[in-house]
Amino acid sequence: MGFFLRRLAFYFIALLFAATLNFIIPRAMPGDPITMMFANATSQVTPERIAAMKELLGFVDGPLIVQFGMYMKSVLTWDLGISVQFYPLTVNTVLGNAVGWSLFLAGTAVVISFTIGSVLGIFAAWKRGSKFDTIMSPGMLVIQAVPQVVTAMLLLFVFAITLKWFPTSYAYTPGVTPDWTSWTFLKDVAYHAVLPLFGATIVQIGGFLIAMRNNMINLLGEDYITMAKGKGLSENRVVFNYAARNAMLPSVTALSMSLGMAIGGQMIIEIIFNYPGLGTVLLNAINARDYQVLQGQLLVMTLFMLFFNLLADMLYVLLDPRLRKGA
Amino acid sequence: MKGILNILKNNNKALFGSIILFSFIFMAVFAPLLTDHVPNKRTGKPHEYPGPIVKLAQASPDGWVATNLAYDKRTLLMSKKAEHVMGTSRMGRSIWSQLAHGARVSLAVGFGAGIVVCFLATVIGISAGYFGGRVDDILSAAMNVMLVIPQYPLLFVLAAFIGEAGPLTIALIIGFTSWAWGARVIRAQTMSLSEKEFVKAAEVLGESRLRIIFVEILPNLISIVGASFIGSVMYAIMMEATISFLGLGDPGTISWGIMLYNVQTSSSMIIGAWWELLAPCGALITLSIGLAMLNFAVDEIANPQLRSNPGMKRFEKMQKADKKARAAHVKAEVPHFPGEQDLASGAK
Amino acid sequence: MFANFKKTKITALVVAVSTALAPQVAFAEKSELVFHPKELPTLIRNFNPFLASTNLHTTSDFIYEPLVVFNEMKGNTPVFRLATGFEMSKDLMSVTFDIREGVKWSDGEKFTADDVVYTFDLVKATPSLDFSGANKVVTAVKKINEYKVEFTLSEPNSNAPYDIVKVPVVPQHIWSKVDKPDEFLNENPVGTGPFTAIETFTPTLYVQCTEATYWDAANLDVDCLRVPQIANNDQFLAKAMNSEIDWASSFIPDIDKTYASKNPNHKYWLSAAGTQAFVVNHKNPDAAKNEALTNVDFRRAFSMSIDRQTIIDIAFYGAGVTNDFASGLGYAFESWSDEAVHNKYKKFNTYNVEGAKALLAKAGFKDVNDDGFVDTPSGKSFVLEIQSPNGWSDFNNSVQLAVENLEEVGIQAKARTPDFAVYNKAMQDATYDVAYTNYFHGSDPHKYWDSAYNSKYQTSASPRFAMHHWKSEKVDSLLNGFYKTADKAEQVKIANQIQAIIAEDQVTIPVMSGLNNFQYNTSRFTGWWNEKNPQGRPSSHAGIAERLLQVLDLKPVK
Repeated sequence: MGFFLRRLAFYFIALLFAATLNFIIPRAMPGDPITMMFANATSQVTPERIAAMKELLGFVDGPLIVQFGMYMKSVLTWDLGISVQFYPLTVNTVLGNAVGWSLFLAGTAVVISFTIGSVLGIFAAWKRGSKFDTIMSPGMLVIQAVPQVVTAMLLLFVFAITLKWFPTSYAYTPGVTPDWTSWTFLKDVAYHAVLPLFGATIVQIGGFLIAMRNNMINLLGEDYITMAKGKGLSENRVVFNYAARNAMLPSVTALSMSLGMAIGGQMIIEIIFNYPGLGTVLLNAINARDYQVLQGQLLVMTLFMLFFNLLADMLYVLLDPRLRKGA
Repeated sequence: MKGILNILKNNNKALFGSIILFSFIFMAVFAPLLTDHVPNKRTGKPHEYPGPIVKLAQASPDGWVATNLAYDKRTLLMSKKAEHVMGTSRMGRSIWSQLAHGARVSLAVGFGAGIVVCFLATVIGISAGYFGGRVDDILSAAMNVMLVIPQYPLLFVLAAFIGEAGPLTIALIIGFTSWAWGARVIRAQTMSLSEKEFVKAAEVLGESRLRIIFVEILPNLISIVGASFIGSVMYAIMMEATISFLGLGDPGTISWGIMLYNVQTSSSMIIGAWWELLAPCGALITLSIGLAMLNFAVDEIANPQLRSNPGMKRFEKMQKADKKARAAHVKAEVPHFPGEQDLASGAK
Repeated sequence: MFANFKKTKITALVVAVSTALAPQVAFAEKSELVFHPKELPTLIRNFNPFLASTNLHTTSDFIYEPLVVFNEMKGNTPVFRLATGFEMSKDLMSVTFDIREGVKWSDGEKFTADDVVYTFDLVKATPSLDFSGANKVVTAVKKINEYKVEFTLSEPNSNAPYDIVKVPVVPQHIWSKVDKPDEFLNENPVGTGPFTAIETFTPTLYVQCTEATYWDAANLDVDCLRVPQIANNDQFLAKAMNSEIDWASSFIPDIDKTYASKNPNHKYWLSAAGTQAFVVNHKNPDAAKNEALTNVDFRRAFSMSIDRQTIIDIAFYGAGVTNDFASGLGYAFESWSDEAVHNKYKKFNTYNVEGAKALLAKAGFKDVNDDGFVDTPSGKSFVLEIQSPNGWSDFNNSVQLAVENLEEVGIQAKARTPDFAVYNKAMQDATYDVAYTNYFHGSDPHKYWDSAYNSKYQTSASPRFAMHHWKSEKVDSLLNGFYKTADKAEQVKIANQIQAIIAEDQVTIPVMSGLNNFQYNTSRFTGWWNEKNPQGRPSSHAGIAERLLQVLDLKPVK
């Protein structure tokens, strides 16, 4: 229990740190969102209107410490302010509309890449040194090393623009009213998700593959495996029942953390495919200098990371009997 | 030097990776000599086809190239001089020249950020691992906090607020936000090293702490630091491309990321100017492959037991015993980060 | 194996999806006009006409019809809509509008003078609703009778009706119950315009249809506006090339090839728009740069070094007209030009490398330190930084081309692309060197000149346009007096004086007059305005009220 309390305390401190960072960054930089908002206004904007808008959006003058206090209070009460770009919507609404799609994309991509990566990893470890191992293991890591922006742009150019096999943007056909019980709608969503998912999956397989392979290799040398072999159990059984199951443990916890990271990591894919997730929201917020949304975004992403890390901690304790006894 | 040559001779991955890396360094250093046109001035018509394509299309007007690659008659006519090996951009600038000159920025950002990351990771990691106690508490907390703050949004937000981020700025922000993973690995390794007999012996002999760090510990960390360096370089090159692509960079510089940005802003993909997209993509892919190969090579040298080739059984066994002892130690310290040796995925 | 599996599955999906969508793609009995007013990352159901920067851009004109539409292209001729006429008082201190009888709100209530009075009082009481700056023009509103309203003005102003009609009139019986009108989303609007019923609304598309209450239904043949969400220019292009858009005013690169050649029904018409120019800082904190930039011959040489046609061809894909008026006026307002002044300074605003070099030498700009670039007459070297806002790619490209041009004549320059907010701040603070900007233009040259040269717009809260930090009391008083008269001949006289002063001093460096983008598709509708039928500016953008008149001219293809 002590272990968990310590972790929780740590996560709370991390959250406070992220929040502080969030407060400092925009205030340390030049620029002003209200100015940006009126950048393309076709008429002369009166100073009175600018002042009125500033007040409305919470850009109050006052000592930094007061601003910080107000900011912290709003963070802890989960009031992230009002979006400049989508005024008068709140940041919560703007982010809330996008979170679902991001989680869907990240979750599906992580599960798929975990499954493929683990299976390939088991084979690679089993057939260590074989052609499969020497090509597949580094091959997947090489793919992972290619910048996502490149993979995504090439996918878009080849499969969406040139071959026209898949749509270039959106999460479902525009104009369709989302109906999650309708089979046609689900198929439409799947069709639109193919390319973004492929882009998000392909870059994660390598990590899972190598983790699985290395865990397996370490385990295959353990005494109980040798014993199992000695007992005359078939190689298949040894590999899958004994080694793979145990090698899976660390991978399962990695799975949870990958989710946290994937949500941030796939933003570029969402942007290129105009997928309505957090990445697209972030880019729009950057372009519109929508401070409130930017800050909220970083905070929400941090929260996801913390949550999935905590989940990983719990899984680790749950799955590893040695730690359970210790705690 | 001879050692390095030997490694190259015996390790195909190292050889392959070095060849790629050095070709790019060569291209970057001699960019002005390798190109006929300046990269930042208009030297041709907008969106000229690559020279060889023009020649092929002209040679056989009904051939595959003319119907599939150079299918736009007007563009073909505009580029009939075939002066630009890789064609021109929307602004009439030579793609090949931008690619060669862009290698300078991309590599500089990569290595610059890599050095910063490596330096910070090594200093922080060794300090935390060797001194322990309060120092370790504070530094470990810092590492852990940095690790849970999501990298991508943090980098984008920083770059956005700084505005018009030039290569140096990009390298610095990458450097200062990405050291935590390396530091954590180095800390763990330092801790296990400082339990070793030779370090204990040096302590008993009364050697200074600095000397122990530099003479006893650091040399044993070289392979880990090296792997972390290559990982950071890869990461930095990738991030430069991403940040610039998003329009957060300085469009005045010439880098591969800015080339991708220009592809986006001039709608080149939709207009069908494929060469403008493929050139920077090809360069980024090739360089990534090269660096990944080098990373494997370093990994294999550092962790021979993970090497794909069988044999060396005895050495492997010894290593394994050592590893097990180490692993137990590491696990107790950081129960929530398995698979540490995997720097390639760690760099993400 | 994997590839095969995917292919068959994909084909199945494609078939499934296209059959599922078939009924929606087919344009049912109603005539729906696919309309693209603005790029948006997602659609937010916001029809509050006062939140002009965040609402949906079919709110003004189409839900809240203006009192009068001033047709700019026709010399500001008033086309009366919810008003039937207006009259200025002799002293230009008040204006009376006659409200049209028989107009109904979409919920059936009568539209009367009370609504007009209520709206202006509301804007007065809530300054954040005043997006058009009407509070500065109007001091009081009074109901004369059920269909007559009098506006009292803050100063004699013949242009006041033009400002007054920009304020959307909202129904008193609805809005008086709204608690916070500046946070009101107005999801189910009650309006006076042609398209008041929101029939479909999803984050990626909405359809806005006409209702039986519309007063001018006899002249309206379009039943609905169909507005898809389009996030960026690439997506717009893909849709436009596919004939999925009927009416748009977006930028299309290489329009003949990418758009017009794809389908015989794809048409476009580019009409003249505002001036674009290099704004020069006349109060540079750097001594060397200040010495150069405040030298009129230097500014002329700068202007002569700019290859305007190439900038238009490359950065704007040919969409623009060179501007060689030292006064910045541009060919769109040729009728206001004093040709003697125009011709006198034309040579300084025409591309001429040798001439620029000669003029620099004559003014004493020589290369003292042999770095290949000229130094100031007092021997100081300088590098001009030319800024344009980050992400405004046509501007960024223009600046890069200009830098190449300047270096050709020996002026060292560097392109910079700070974030818009930084760009704007540098201009307000007079810390920049040179900046590229566009100007908005009105029905006569006053709007451009006033926004660019009137020193009252050089405060830290003003927009970028006047940030030459150049001040002439004579020009200020001429600009302020322009609308004190309603006599066109008098205004021309004032215009002649203004352009003489600005041209003589080469205050700005004009580059081009931009073009209004307008693409239309004749496969589903006819009656589009174009070069043969120039009825007005057919922009789909909010803020250009003529778009209402264009809609009324459209006829569905049978």
